[in-house]
Amino acid sequence: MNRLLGCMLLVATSGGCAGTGQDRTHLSLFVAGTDVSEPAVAVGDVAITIERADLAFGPLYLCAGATAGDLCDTARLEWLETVVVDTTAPEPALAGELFGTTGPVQSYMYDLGISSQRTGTEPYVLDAASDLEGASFVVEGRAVVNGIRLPFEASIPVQQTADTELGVPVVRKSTSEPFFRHVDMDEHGLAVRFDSAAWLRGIDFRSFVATDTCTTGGPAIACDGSVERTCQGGSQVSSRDCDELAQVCLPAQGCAERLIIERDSEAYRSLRNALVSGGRPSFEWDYVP
Amino acid sequence: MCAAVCVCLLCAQSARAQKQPASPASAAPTQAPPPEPVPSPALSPPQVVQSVAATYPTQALLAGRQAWVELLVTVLVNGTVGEVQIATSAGQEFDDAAVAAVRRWRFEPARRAGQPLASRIRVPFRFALPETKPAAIAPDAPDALGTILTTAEDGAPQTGGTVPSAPVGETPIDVTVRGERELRAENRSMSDFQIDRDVLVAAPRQEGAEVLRSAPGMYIGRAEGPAVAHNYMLRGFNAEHGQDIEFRVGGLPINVPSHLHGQGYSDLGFLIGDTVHAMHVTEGVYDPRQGDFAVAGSIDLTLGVRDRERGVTVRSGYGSFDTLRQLVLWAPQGEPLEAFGAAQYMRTDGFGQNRAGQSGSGVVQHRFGAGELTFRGIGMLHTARSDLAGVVRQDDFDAGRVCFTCVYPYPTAQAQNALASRFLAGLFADYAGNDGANGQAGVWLGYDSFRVQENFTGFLQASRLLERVGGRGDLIEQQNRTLSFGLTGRYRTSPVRAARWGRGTVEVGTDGRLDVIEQAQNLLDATVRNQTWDRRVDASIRGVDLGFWGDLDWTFVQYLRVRAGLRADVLSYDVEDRLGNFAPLTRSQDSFIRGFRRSALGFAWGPRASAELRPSEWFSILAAYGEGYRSSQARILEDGEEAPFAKVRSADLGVRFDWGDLLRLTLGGYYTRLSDDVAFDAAEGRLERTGATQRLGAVAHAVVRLPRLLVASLSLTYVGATLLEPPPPTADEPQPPFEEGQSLPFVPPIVVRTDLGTRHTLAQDVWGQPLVGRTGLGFSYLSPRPLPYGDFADPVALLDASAALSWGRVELAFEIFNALDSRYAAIEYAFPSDWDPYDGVRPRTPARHTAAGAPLSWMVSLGATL
Repeated sequence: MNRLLGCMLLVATSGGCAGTGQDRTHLSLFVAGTDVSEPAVAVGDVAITIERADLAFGPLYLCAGATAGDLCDTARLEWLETVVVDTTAPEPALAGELFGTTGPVQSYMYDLGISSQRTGTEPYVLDAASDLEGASFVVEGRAVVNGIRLPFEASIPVQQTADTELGVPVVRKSTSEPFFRHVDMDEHGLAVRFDSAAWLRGIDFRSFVATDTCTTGGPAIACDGSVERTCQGGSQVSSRDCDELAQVCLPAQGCAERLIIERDSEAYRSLRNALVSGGRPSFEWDYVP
Repeated sequence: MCAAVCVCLLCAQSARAQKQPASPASAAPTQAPPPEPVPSPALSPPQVVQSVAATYPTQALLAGRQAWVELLVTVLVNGTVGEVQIATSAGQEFDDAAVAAVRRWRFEPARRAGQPLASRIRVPFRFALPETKPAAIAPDAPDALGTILTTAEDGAPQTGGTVPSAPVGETPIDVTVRGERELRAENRSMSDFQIDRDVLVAAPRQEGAEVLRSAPGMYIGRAEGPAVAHNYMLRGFNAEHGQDIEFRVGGLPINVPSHLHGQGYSDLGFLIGDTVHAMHVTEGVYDPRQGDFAVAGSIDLTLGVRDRERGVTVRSGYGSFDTLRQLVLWAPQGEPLEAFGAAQYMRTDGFGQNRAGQSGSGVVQHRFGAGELTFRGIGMLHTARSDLAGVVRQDDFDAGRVCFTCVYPYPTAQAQNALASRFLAGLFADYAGNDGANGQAGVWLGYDSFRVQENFTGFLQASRLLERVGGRGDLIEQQNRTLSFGLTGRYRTSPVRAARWGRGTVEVGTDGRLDVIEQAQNLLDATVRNQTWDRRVDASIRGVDLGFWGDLDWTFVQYLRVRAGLRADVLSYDVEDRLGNFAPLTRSQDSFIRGFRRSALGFAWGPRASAELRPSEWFSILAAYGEGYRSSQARILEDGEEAPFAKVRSADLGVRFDWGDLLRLTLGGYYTRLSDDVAFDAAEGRLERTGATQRLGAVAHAVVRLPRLLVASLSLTYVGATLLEPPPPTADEPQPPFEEGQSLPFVPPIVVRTDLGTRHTLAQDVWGQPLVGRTGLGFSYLSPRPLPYGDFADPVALLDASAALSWGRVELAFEIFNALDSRYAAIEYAFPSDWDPYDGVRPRTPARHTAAGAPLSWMVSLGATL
């Protein structure tokens, strides 16, 4: 009898005893990096040590279908903000709340602080990317190539290009990547963990350490390890050891404070591609801090 | 007995066929203009406050016998009928019919010096064979306010008035009211409701179509302004713009098949409230005459102007938001109830931004001819245009980014508007043979033009025709033009007695229509003079719907009446889909010529059966089962497809208590299963398939009339509506908004409606005319409605009230709508949208969207009938 009365009351006030199939829900979103105290190994067994790796992350969408992108016009859960993730810090930090409905999620997609929308041809630089001066990922570290210490830094904006879909987040779950969760009302939180070392592993730092001498038709400045040679007509005019200046010798550039990975370089493309399609984050469901 | 006052009572009463379902004919006395009463300063004679029609004996009717019965009736001090003596007998069957009727009469007792006293009056009943009358229109019944239609000996209507007092005197005055034959059984289940005009006018209505709110389980909202059809909800069906309700007005079909804005689109904006005579609501599918779109049921509105309202009426109204209403109604005296012409103009600034609108409507109807065959012609013309505010996201007005009744500050939102025009005309021949046979044949034609610009989703759409073009605002333009021709015909035999235990009639009928439809849907860029940046629909459709039915109406003994019938429909479609076979951006444009022409034909049939057990005059048990259908949107059909129909199966069981005009109470339950339901899709701005659904519900409906004082109607419906087989997730739709077993979105489980009207004569003589006060009240309640994606809409509670003073035939009225000033949504949806296009973030989870309902508003109107 009490159940019947309760049901009648529920009917009158909330619309019925039957459910609506899906329920509104929200859960906390945490972001985290990976412990980088140990050097990572890049192409050519080059050891790299990451000193800073800030990632502009968001917005994030979790989709019901197995394929994100244009087939995720309606998302199961979303987080529409952005945050700068210190990907060198393994302890999850609260980023915000994911809002949406209960049910299965089978794919995800997100932007890296820069979004493209159908309403404009220019990308939108969101707060986190603004904090990184327009970049999606800022990394600093050092690589050791053949015993030569090579400090480096990179600042990578990641945005849609003419070849990609307008208005669709730039990072999407790959088809081969397992990803499934049935989100219910008891879900506590989701922690997304990034591994910045994975993005750097594809960079061939060996190309930045040369053992060149002056040759006819060669560059005006040649690097021989840490030694910078100034050439003229194939002959060396002068030389200096960059190491003594606490600098590195970069091919065609000479002594420099550090390697700045420039746009259009092979390393830049490698890093950008890794951010978009390699080194996927891990998702830890039901996370409780 | 010496103290008894002998008077001769002239009582006017016109019978209503639907009130005597057990009898094929009824008759009741009516009056000629009464004589001047004999003054008696110390004595006031009894007054009839409730009269009940006598049932015309069936056999006498069939035999063509007329009769005169005179009764001596004792009116007790409490107004009830005491002893009844037969002063003049016409045989037992006539005598019994007259006595049975008069025993249900109620009186204001005679008074001497204000004290009630018993009296004896003489009541003559003249049973006269009925004049030929159409099936659709019943003569006026006495309403609770004591007004009746009177008909003189020659059958010509006279100006009505209040029920007369019994004149004091000895001279009987011979008057006759001719009864109305029941031409065909309209009441087949407990879910059949006849809503009379007194209920329809009890509560204030902002527009004519709001009379529909008095139908049990019905709610209508105006979410898209005066140029777009209402949103209808009935009996657990979210009928959107009419997909689940078969509408007829004056015998003309209203639903437009394969309309781009919604299947069965039914815009009742042309209705002029003053011309709506009655509403017959058939909830469920139990009458073989019910055809396409009769899924939740059918609603037939009959048009006519009562005798006391006839003349030339001019009424002007002015109210909130600079709203102006102007009505001219012409209903010549001495003409049939159905003869009138009316025109109405309305304009308003609307209750918020971008809501200004105007409309004009004209309706003419006339009945002509005499004898067994009469003719009725009807024509309607309507046009309306309005700006639309569209929808706003709830989270936006919660955050103060946009107000509840505002519109988003973008051209694509502010360019929302609609224009609708419609013409309908019909000519019907009605046959009512003196042997009881009857029928109708008619033809009609209609033209409907509709254009709307609406944006539900903001800035989400991308062009399918132009590469890398999108985000120009999802301003959907829909155009739909339909030219329709139709015919209808039916014939019911005269009653036949096959055996001692049974008699009945058989009906056969047909109706059909041919529709020529042109429709287009585009996306417009409002910032560059509505430049078209995508095309979604460009199609021509030719549709034919031809229906046949047979109906047996059989009475076993006198307690059990059974109706059984069958209806079948053949529908065919010829579709020229000029965008068909379009493969967006995947094939070069010159590799094929776009377009997909196809044809389809389908056959739908279903039985209809009902039974009525009537152990007493005031109590009946009704059971019914029926199968109906709704046709498909033609554009989705494949070539050669046997046009799939949404099949509906419906069953009703209930009881009805009928104490004459005093109280009519209906209680019952129903079950309905629909094979294929549809629901609103915001991205396309139209209806999309949602799968099989079922409804289990209960209805309570009561109408109370305290003659000359009050009429009250109360309905309460509960329905559990469940989605049974929603479309499974697909790659294109991985997250469908509907899940198996969930409550059906948009359907309110509880709907409550109350109409209340009171009338009181404030002064009998003010400068030669009575001064009458009238008040009205209407209350609608919808419990929270489930929405897609786990949301619930807020409940809706609306209270309307009115007060009016009538002096003679001049009336000043004040109406207030949404008196509680509750903030409510005329309609609510849940879907993703992006109404902040330049923040760089696109929301993709569904959000609640509302189209605001009107806040508190008022209207003052002054009208006069000459």
